[in-house]
Amino acid sequence: MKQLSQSIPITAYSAVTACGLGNTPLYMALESGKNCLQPLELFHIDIPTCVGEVREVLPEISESLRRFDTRNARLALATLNCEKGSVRHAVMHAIEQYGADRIGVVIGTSTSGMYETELAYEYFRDKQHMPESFDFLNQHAWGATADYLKYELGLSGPAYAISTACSSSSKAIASAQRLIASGVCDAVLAGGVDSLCRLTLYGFSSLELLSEKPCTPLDKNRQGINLGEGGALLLLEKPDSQHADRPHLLGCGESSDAYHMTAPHPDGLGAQQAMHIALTQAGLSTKEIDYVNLHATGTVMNDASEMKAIKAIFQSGVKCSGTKGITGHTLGAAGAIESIISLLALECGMMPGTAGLTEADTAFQYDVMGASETTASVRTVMSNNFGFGGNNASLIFGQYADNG
Amino acid sequence: MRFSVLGVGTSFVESAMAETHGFADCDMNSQLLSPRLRRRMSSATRLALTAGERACADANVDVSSVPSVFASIAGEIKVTDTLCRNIAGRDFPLSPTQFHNSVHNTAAGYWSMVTKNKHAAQALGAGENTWVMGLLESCCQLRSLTDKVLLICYEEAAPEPLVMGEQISDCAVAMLLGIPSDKKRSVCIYQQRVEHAGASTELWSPVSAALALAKAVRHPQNSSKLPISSTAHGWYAEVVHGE
Repeated sequence: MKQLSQSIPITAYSAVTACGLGNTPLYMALESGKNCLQPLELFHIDIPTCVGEVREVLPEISESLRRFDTRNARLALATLNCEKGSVRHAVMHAIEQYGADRIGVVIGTSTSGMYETELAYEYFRDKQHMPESFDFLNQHAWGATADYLKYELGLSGPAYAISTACSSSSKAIASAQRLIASGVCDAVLAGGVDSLCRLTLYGFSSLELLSEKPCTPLDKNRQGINLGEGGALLLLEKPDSQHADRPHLLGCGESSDAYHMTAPHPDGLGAQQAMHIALTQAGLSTKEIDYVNLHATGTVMNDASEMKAIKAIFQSGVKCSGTKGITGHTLGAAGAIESIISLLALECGMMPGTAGLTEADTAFQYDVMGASETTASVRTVMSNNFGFGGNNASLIFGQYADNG
Repeated sequence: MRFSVLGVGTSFVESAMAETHGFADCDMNSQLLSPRLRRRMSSATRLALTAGERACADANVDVSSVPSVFASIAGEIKVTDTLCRNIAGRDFPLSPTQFHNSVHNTAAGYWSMVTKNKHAAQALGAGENTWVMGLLESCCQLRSLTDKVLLICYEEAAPEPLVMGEQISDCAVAMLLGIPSDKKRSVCIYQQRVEHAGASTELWSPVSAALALAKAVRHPQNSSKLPISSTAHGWYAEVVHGE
């Protein structure tokens, strides 16, 4: 099999999560292990659960792009605007350098504008027609948020959405890597955006996977997931000496379980394959990985399967933790948000802990981090996300190019 | 960008529509699916899997041996409609099966399960540009990861409140793509910039563009420059004559 030889610099990144607008509130929550899970305020549900909701007022979509107006698009706009607009400025700089047609957008999402579609169906139920404001292609369809960002930023390169449930935005970042490595684009804005909605809350409730209390991934008493929402955007650019001191995407691994639509393979074989491919592409041995940000959703089966995979791949142990007890499980945005968590770990020398962990499941026979740790030497980080349909993705980030 | 087309497969809900497009005997009854699985699946997933199976057979390639890219504007739109009606009617609990069959990678997930395919499976959507973005994603995979990739573009007819317009649907087109070769049917895709093109008002159909390219690959002597995106985006494909 061919292997990419290029590692790709990440020149700007920011995230909006239940922790707040930007990387700083996320970092503070990660460092202190503060869970940002609370009862839902956005709309009424009949299910007792906590969520990672973005409670800040979101910015309004500009008049000329009103056809894209959804909670997802607003979360995307909030992500562009936070951190004093650092990602937006980086994109503007990239436009000057490469031209708008050389910059792509790849966004992972599992909800797209579902929140608005649900409201439109309430209207449809009463009036037998959809509201005037409902725009199927620009709000509901999978590509809507990627297209919104393309027009908001004045880009004219390729733009598409990846939607593979919980691995969506990890795979969007992998697609961005390929667009640059193949020479199709000079820069790609990649990431993920997902918004809370009734479909996912009632759906996961039907699957009996929602936790009533703030979730406790990896704990022996874990009871399921809490959903979250948010946006995370990363600007990837073609390798260049001017970006040598930026963190780099070193490797991506993708695989399919070929096993079950919702249950992971019990031994995590697909997860192992994804991690193995990512390591091979990065040219790294397991000993060279300093920290793994686990998928760690908090369901009994998911965590057990992933830890078997981790144990099989990292036989001599690795520092690992899960952060969905802080942000909630943001589904299609999880891969990108946790990529940013991985980048914060690299740039700040802080490995986050697992919020809510009282006692790790002894069945894992593996150490997982409860509290965060600060160290001077986080040089490489792996980030895992695995979705419905047995769709797996593992990404490796490094502090510098050329395998750290 | 250039790639070779090693195999083509199509599938249709209605046999009359298949014949109109010159693809007779292209139903959606994949041999990979048991009657029980067929009943559980949406037409979107059945269309995609059947076309994918046919493209692999046409290329004489094992269905378990290649990564896949599933491309659709709306994916599982009928299941989505049912669940949205349930939610609006407060008809709870939702069906857990319907819920997990509403994700965009439902077809990709079932494909990997029934073919025992453990390679990467991509599910993408890009509105009117879904077909060309699927081609671009596939080309990038061919340049960087793999020698062959299965690309499947599919669309089931949307139910009434979500109808997108007069676009072609209820069919799927799959192509088994390979690295470019002088000896195989090859296709070149490129973009011709359009200055000051506004957003188009007509919905442009990715799956009909895929059908047109499938026909052109079968009958390259009749083919010319084919649009593969809306005019505003200016993407075209041309079949390159092989030996």
